[in-house]
Amino acid sequence: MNYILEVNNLSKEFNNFTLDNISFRLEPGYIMGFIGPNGAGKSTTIKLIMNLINKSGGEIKVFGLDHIEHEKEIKDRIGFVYDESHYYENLTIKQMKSIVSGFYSKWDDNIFNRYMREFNLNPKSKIKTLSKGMKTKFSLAVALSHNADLIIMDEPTSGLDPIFRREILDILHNIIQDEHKSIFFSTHITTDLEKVADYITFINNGKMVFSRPKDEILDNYAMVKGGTDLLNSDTRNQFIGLRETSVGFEGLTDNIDNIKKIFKDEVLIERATLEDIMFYIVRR
Amino acid sequence: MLKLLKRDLKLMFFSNFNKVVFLLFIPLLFIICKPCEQKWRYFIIVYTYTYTIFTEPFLYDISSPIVNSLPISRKEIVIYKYVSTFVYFLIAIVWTGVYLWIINVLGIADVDYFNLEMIRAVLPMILIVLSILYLVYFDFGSSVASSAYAVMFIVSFNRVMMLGSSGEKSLLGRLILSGDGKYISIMAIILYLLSLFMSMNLYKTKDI
Repeated sequence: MNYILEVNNLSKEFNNFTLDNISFRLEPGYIMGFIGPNGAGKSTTIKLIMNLINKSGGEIKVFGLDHIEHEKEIKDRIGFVYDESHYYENLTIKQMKSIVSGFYSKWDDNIFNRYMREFNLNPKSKIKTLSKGMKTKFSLAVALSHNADLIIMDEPTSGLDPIFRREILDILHNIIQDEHKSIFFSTHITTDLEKVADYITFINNGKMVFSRPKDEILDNYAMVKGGTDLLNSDTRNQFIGLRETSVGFEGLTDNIDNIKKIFKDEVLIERATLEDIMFYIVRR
Repeated sequence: MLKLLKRDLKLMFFSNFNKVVFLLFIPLLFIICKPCEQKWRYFIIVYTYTYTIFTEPFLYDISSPIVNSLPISRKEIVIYKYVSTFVYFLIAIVWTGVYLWIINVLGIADVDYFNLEMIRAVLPMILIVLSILYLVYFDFGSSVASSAYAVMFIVSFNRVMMLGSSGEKSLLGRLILSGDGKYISIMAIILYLLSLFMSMNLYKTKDI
C-alpha cells in the first residue's frame, strides 16, 4: 500500500514533555483529523512532519520518501497552513505572494487569483491589517495554489466564524475529490471533523489513543444515559468515563453489546460524538 | 539558492525604509561627516549599504520561520546566508559607485566613486560582523539574534563613524590597514568559514 503520509513510532523528548511512539498512516484521497486536548502534542507532531523540529526517534515518510533526505521535494508537494500567521506582516498580500510563489515548482497564479476572489481578499491589503480569519484565508490560498498533493494544517478553523469554517470544509472536501490528494489537519472543533474527516487520529499527553476510520470510531463508542441507581462497582467498569448528577448519569462506553445486555431498556443509548469521546477519554 | 536571493532583493525593494536610506544616506553623511577623509567616507557608505541590505531579510527571518516550511533544505538556507553577503556587498559597491559618480558628474562634490583600497578594507569588517550575527542566528535562535543585532548595530556604527572622522589615527583604522590589510583579511576569512561550518553543523538538527 502506498501511503501519502506514514508516521511510525515517532518520538520527541523535551525537558517537560515527551511525544511517545506516535504512529498513523494516511492514504491518498482521504482526510485525516488530528485531535487531542491542548498540550497533547499535535503541533509538535506537525512540526516534526514538516522537519521544523528534530525527532528523537521513529520514522516519517511523506509520499513514501524519508522526510529529511527528500525534504525539498516533499515540501514542494505540501501545502502547509500554520496555526498562526507567519507571513511578513509589513508586506501586502501581492508582495508576499510574489515571494512565496517563487519557491514552488507548480505554482499557479490562476488558482491563487481565483481564491483571492473567492475569499474576498484584496491583494493590496497589508497582511498586518487582516483579521485572523482573513489571514487564515490567505494562508489557505497559498497552500492551495501550488497543486500540493498533501495539505497539512495546524488548527486552521480555530477563531473563524461558522460560515467561513463551513466554506473551508467544502473546499477541503472538493480537494480530495482528486483521489491523489490528502488532507491532514489538527483541530479542537471536532464537529468540523464529523462533517469531512475519513480518519481520526487521537493523541493525549503525547501518547496515541487511536488512529482509525471515523465511522468505525463513531460506531464503536456510545453515550449511555440512565439513573444513578443502576450504577455499582461492576456496572461502572463498563464505562470509559462517567459523569454523575443528582438525577442520573451519562457515560461513554466502547462495549455497547454488554451495556445492552446488562441494562436492557433501563438506559438510553445514543451515538457518541467525537467531542464526547475526546472528553471522556482525556478525563479518564 | 537563487530563489532566496530573489526573495531578499524583493524584500529590499518592498521596504520604504531601505529606499529612504539608499537615497538619503549619502547626502546626510556629507552633512554629518564633513571633515571626513574622502576614502573613509567611501568606507562608511559601502559598509552602511551592505548592512542595510543584510538587515531586511535578516530581521524577517528572525521574526518568522516561514522559510523553513518552503521547499528549501536547511543546508541551502545556511550556505545561502553566507554567500549572500558577497552579493549584498557587490550591490552596495555598484549603488555607491553610481550614486557618487552622478554627484561627481553633476559637480556637486568631488568624491571617490570607486576605491579599491577601501573595498579591501571594508569587506573584512563586514565578514567579521556577519560571521558573529549569522552564528548567533543559526545557533541560538531569534530572540538572542535580535539582541545581538541591536548591539552589533550600535557598536559597529559607532566605530565606523569614529573611523570616518579619525581615519588611520583610530585603533580600528590602524587595525584595518596594518600589513596592508592582510592580517585582518586572513582573520575575517578564517572567522567567516568557521562560522559557516559551525552554523551548518548546528542548524542541521536545530529545533525551529
